[in-house]
Amino acid sequence: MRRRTRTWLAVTSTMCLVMAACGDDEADAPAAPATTAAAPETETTAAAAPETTTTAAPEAPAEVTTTVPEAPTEVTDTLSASDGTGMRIAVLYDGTLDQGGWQGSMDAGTQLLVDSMPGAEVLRVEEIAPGQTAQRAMTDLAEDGYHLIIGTSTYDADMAIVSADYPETAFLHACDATVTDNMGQYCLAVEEARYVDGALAAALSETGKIGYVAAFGISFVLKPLNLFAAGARSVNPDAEVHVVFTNDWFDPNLELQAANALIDLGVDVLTYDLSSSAVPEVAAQRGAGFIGYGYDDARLQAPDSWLGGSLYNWGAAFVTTAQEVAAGTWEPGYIYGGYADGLLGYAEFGASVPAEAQDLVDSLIADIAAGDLDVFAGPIVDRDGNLVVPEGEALEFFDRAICCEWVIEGVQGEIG
Amino acid sequence: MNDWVLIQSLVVAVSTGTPVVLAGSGAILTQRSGVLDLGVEGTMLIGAVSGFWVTTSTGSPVAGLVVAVLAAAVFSMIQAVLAVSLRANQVVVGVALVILGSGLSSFIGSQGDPPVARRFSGSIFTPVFPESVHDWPAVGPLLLSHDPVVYLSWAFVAVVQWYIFRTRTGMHLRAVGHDPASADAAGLPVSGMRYLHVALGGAAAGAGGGYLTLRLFSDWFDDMTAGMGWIAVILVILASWRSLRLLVAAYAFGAISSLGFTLQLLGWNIPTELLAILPFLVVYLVMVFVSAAERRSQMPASLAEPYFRESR
Repeated sequence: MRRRTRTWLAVTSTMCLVMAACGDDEADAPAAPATTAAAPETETTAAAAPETTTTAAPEAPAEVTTTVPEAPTEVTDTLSASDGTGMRIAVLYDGTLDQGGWQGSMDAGTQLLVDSMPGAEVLRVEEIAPGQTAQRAMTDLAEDGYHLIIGTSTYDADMAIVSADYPETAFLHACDATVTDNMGQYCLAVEEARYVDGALAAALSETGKIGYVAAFGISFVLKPLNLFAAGARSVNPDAEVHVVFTNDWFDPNLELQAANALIDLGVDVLTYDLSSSAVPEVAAQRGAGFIGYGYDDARLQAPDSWLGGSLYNWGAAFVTTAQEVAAGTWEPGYIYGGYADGLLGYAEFGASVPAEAQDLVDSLIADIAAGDLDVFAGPIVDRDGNLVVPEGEALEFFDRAICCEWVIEGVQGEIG
Repeated sequence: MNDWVLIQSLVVAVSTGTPVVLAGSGAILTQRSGVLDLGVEGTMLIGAVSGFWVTTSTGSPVAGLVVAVLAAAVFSMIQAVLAVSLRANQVVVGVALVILGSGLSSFIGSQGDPPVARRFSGSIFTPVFPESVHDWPAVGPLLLSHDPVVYLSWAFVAVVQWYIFRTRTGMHLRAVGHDPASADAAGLPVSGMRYLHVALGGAAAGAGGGYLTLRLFSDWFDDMTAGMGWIAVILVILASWRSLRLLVAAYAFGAISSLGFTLQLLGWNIPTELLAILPFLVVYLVMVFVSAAERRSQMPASLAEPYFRESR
């Protein structure tokens, strides 16, 4: 009897363990596609999501709203084309949507899709890990008749495999290489985002030393770092960007130590190329300023340290593609754009940011959007003194996309 | 490099090392009773999310820490039931608890209104002593600039050390972990002792997790321990199941790791990957020499072995 009780207990508790461990996958439950939000008017880029919107700073409402590019974009051109009735779209995420960061910025894009195509059925699929899970999910969705499948994480290889089997379905992937007859890519010109961020950092730094916490010294981390430094030195030619690498995409404890080491060195403005709360928290606890990158979660977490930061507007790419797919005119390619295309925005400024610095950001964004300022224009000199982009030239599209193996002058600290 | 940089590295090592010190000292209690609790990482995550929930709801970090401790202690009872009463393989149970803790904390984090994950904490633990004393040479930053949980962790380490080696119950604890059959014959409640110390270990891990959300990051996010629980388990072994040594090891680990970033910034041409493994290398080497100098192993002889009275 006693033994039987034990066995029963063992079995039930194991079951409980297993069920609890799997429990959180239920978050996959389809998000209701229903939305009654009216299709936004032409100036929709600002409607990306309430939280990440380019909203006006308290002091200077008029100027800040102009940070939304005035130039006509594909987004505004096609918005009124279709309300998406009959269209089915699925968006795949690697993690859950409760957290901000990368996933949150992507979800703001999905929300723009929902708002601007109210007739469409938009399904959010969470916790899809790259690999077999992703392939199974995409196959199921394609079988189920979804017209457009958008991946927001590193699904390139998986999507290439599945898309080959479903030529009638459109596939859209974030920032990788594969482009086929029914699979395209979308990515942001992060160099434009970081150039503006760097300029703001230099304008607000009193010591001229800016701290940058990043994960690895690899090309697509060095690109934003380089352009951040270029932006900083466009404002203050003596500005130094001090960089530390944690050698981990996610180790908040190391990020704390790295950010503290930067402040101990005399840095008074911090930024990062990561998404945990560690770096803004150090800025808050030690009285430094903080500049966001891509999302403005830190604005709420560390309001006293928050200065500003570029915002990702993935929604522009989603809506454009969805409209083209609906119209039957979609030709898979590489969507790559910045302020001019509405793919980038700017977050609300912190309360301590003076009007001149806000104007500086606005005018830089206006110049970039109008094509008057190319952040990759020469001369660009690396920190070993080599001329990487000669005067009067600028990097070509391909070189921009794969940039950078070099480190620009003004960056201090060990790389790699 | 100057003295100030060294002192600052130590100060950062103290704050980032506190979760490891708390969880590790708790794990020493658990392991001294003969139960190998590998689930520390998962237990810390439970403490982190439950503490943050309560603090963001009530505005009191103390209430958050208390709930973190209680929730983690309850969570660690899974380990106790499976490993002590049902005599399951402790390694398997421990690893399963890490996965369970990660999934469950992530689920809890998505609940509430607004969801815990979207909350921000305005109320966290703050330094005990006024700003003015933080600048006193050396002792100011090193000893007087901390929040109450850091001082609590120091007290806990001292109490654990004293309890294990200087009290009668501590001796009983070591007997249970070393030779449960003899302890049983001597009339000690083997299962009871093990249950109690698994709960104490869980509670301490919960405090460590709570410290993450209630001070260190003042925010909660998925899998925020990022391996801290495992580092605690490793340091317990390297520290020969002694809490004072664990404290030194944890701080040394954090200080070297923190100094690595300063070295990166100074540009001494040391590859950053090498700097990243430096704390592991140094702490390993030192602890290996320290344990080699001891005459016999300090490991509880029955660690990870379920006790069957019938097989006595």
